[in-house]
Amino acid sequence: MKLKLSILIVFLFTFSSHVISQTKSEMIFVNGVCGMCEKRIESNCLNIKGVKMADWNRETGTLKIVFNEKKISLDAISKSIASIGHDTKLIAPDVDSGWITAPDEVYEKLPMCCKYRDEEVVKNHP
Amino acid sequence: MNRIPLYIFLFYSNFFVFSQEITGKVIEIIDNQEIPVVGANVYWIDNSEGTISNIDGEFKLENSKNNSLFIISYVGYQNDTLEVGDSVSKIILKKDSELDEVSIEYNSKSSSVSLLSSSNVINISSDELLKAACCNLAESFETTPSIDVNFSDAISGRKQINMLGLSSPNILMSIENIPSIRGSLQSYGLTYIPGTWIESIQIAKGSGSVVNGYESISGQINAELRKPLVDDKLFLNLFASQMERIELNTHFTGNLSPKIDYGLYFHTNRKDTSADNNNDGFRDTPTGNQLNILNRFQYTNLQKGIVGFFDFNYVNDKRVYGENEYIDQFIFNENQNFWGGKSESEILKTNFKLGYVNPDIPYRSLGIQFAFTNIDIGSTFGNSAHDSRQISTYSNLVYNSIIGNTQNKIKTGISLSYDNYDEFIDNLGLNIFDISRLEKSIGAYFEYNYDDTDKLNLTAGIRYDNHNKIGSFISPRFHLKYSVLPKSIIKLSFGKATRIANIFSENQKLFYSSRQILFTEDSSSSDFSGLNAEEALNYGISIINSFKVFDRDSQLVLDYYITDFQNKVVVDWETPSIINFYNLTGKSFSNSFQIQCSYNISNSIDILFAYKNTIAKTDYISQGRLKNPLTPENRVFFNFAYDGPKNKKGGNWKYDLTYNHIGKQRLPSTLSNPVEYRISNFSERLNLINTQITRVFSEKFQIYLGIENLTNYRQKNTILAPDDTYGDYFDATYVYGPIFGRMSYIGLRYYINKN
Repeated sequence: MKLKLSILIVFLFTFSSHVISQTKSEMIFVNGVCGMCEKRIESNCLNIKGVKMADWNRETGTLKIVFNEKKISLDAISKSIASIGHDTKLIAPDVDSGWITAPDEVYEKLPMCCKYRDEEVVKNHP
Repeated sequence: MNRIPLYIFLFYSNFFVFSQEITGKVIEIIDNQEIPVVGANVYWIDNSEGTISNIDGEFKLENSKNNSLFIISYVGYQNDTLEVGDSVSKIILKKDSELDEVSIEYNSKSSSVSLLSSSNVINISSDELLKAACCNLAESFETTPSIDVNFSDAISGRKQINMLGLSSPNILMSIENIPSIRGSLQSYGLTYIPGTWIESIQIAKGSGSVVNGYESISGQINAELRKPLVDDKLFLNLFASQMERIELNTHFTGNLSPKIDYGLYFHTNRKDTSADNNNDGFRDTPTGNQLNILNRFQYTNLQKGIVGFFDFNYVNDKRVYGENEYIDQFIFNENQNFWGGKSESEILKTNFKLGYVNPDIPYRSLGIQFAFTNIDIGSTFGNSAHDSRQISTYSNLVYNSIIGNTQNKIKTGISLSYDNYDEFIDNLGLNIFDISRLEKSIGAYFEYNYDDTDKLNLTAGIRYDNHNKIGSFISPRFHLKYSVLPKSIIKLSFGKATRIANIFSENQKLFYSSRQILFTEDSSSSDFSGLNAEEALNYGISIINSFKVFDRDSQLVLDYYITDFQNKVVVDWETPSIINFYNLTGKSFSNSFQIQCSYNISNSIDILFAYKNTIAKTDYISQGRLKNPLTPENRVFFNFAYDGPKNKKGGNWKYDLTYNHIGKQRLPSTLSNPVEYRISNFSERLNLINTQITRVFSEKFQIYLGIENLTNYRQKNTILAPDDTYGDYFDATYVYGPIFGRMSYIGLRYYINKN
């Protein structure tokens, strides 16, 4: 019994480390304001094949994203987020990579409370 | 255009281990006007994790790895490296062509995190714990309607807690997720956790998680203790009550190295004299003293994602109780004229916990818990005695991960427990029971959680255990949360629990009587080992509605829980002078309904109203189905809390009032007693009020004054046959209300924060 369990545990760890080698953890900036934005951004990412974790921080505007490099690229994830209405920007130490902006027609369809380009809306979300 | 100095205001806050963050604002001054800078890069030098400033120039930078150096870069300026720390107040940032000033200001704020889980969890913060005298864990629930705090008996002065109509042994009680108040500690264990040590309490109604074991029949209570890393540097609490009880609590924390913090927690209480306010010839509460020391070491290495705790706890507690004239002697008091006794406990506990999270992959973690406990409790009661020694070890290994993505989380692990009991009972000098035994178990569990990040959150768990007394058994647990509307949540739960009753520690009050112990209806048999493990199913539904009334937050919670025992050790008090333990032959259940409504009247006033209805019944061998004794069917709870506006020094007034209506309770029958030793079959209805006022003078100092049992209610006839304590009818277990009338207390708290 104990032997079987230890084999199982060793197996779990070897298996995990194998998976870790393809796993990449990155931070990008995603523009948004409210809890609805958070849900939209996170569930969009989690529905992308290869994305393991997506955690958007409403206060800092940063999205921590963990994904499998072999299945998806950070650029593709950023574009996917922009396609549902949220501007994104890589947090690059040395180069200003510029914004990937959401198409205006998608942005316009966002609910009123999510209009992050509107200064009034942003101010109403402390 | 003038010179363009770039101002960055930073607000550094240090509030939580995993969520340190700094906030700041980047502004340009153009022609004496502040213009926010949008899109400046702010990132940590070590790992390039960072953020950019938003439309107002503001940014928040998460410090998940305890970094200290960060960089701010902006087109047209040279990058500069800044350090998080108090010593920094001004930094010059060089523009590509010229010199500009950057000033940095620091400020701190605190924050708390709430979790939305599928199980019905109520969180009690340390602020809530300050609302009542709260000397120990048992008294921490006075302002929480889901938990009933009852008087146990007329001798020990102890309070007992109930959840869903069932007493505390049915609740799995853990300290930082290590099952702790169990076995021999079922008697006094709650009084060995001083209230000031508690950081927060989580109450899970209904079946708990498989991770913490198979034992939670009606729910789980977990208490988190103060953590040296974030606790105050020095804390002092003095408490004195009208019942001549004094308490001292001191906390002292510091660090041995940047990664190792320690805390020294000291508690002592003593009571040298005891009044007899109800004139029954007995001390209202015991005299005695307690010494309780906890030494914690916390290791925190956020770069590597390791957090560890090593705790060492020593408790020495001595209580003397009984008739006013009773004098504690070192020899056994067999031939003494006055009834009384003493209880001495010595507990030694060490815990070790280690958690590892890969900072890049926070959803995958490994945790190990290990606890060793040595308990030695020796008690005498008139001519009865109970000695209980227990050596226990507990270990648990938990692995957290995901399947695919974080919508599908899993927890799996194994746990081992070992309890060696050395337990003797001398029942009235008539019978001696030696119930020394060894209990050990090994279990494996798996829990799956699905979160659709929108409406649905469900947890399904299963554990398999092999126990040397019970054999192999399976405990399934299921929890579901569904948001019907954004502000309306429905929760469902189902689970099975198993436990071995520790009958003497759990029913310690039987010794405060002349009851003879029997193990079946048949008085010739006295076979303890014939008692089977308890087994119960628990089903629950809870509906939570949040809404606004006159633009103020309000919440309505309705819940209904059913606990249905498949087997139970029936504790039969129904025949006077006898206590009977036997396996359940019919049904035993507890159905509990609660409606709770809270309303935030103004920024400083909150009210909470609750009504509870509990139908708990058990089939007894000779009396048939009866309501469980001392379990009120109806309870009404009301709480008023005022937390006034703060002045410049952080001082304010706080006021709290709790009203409890406790309906009629069935008392065990006394019909077969002689007329003078009979009492009513039902208790009186009780209306109890507790109140406390706190004056906070500053962040450092506060004084509180409180009154328990303001209406001065005192139960009559708490003790049967107080004049014939060694006779057949002496019994101090028919207690349903306060025995000592109104009690006032006063205390002070003094804090010195870190930094």
